[in-house]
Amino acid sequence: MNAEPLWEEVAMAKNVTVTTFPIWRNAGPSTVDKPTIKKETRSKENLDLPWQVVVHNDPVNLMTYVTMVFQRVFGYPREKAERHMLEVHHEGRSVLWSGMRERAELYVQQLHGYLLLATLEKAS
Amino acid sequence: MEICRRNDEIEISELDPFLAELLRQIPASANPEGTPAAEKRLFSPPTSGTETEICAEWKLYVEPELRRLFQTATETVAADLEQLNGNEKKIASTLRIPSKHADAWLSALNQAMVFFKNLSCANWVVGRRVPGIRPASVPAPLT
Repeated sequence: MNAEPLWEEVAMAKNVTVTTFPIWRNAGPSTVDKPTIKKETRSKENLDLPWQVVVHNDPVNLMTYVTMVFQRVFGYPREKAERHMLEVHHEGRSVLWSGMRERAELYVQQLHGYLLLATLEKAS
Repeated sequence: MEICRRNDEIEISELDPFLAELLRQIPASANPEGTPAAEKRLFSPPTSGTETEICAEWKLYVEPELRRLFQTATETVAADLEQLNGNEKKIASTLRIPSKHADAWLSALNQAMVFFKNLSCANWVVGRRVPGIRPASVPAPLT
């Protein structure tokens, strides 16, 4: 097995002047303490599960109005907004968005502002 | 009645006096005060009830904001409706709604719809609720 040549030997072979700093070369073991690793336990559920914005069926609001609100709040194109509106109408609920809790809360607040029945819930 | 759009305004002309009177009742109808069911629907909880912490925060921070939003909308509509006041003998028959007030109108009309939908029992005389009439779910006090 061939040992790798020392870098000084390589430098000599290439005729390069090398300045060495003995203090660095002879430096002893590091005196920096090992970092202490703290273990923090969080349930997988808290870390992974996104929050969902759910809109529930409501006999008060007109279908066209609900479609318009979905377009305005989520910026969805008309077709997608209509699809969700029909899902709310036929299935009783539709998941409009999922992601971070803060954003989900903001969406629910906006939907309540438009008088839609909306809740946020953890994805299951 | 004729509805047309003119220079950033929606103009409703030749309004029937009865319809004009109905429109004038929108701001009062949108007020859920004294009707717990309507109040509950207007300020519904943000979760299905399991997340109590979120519900408490919502009540504290979001609900007052929603209340202000609804109130601003009804105030805007009430201001627009002042055009219908006319004089004592005759109600004006033309209403001009600035396009930028459209959202406020949508909100106020929706609030009124929510209110009526959640009204289980109330008596109305010329668009005003008669005090003392309570929803059927609330029993009358024993005398």
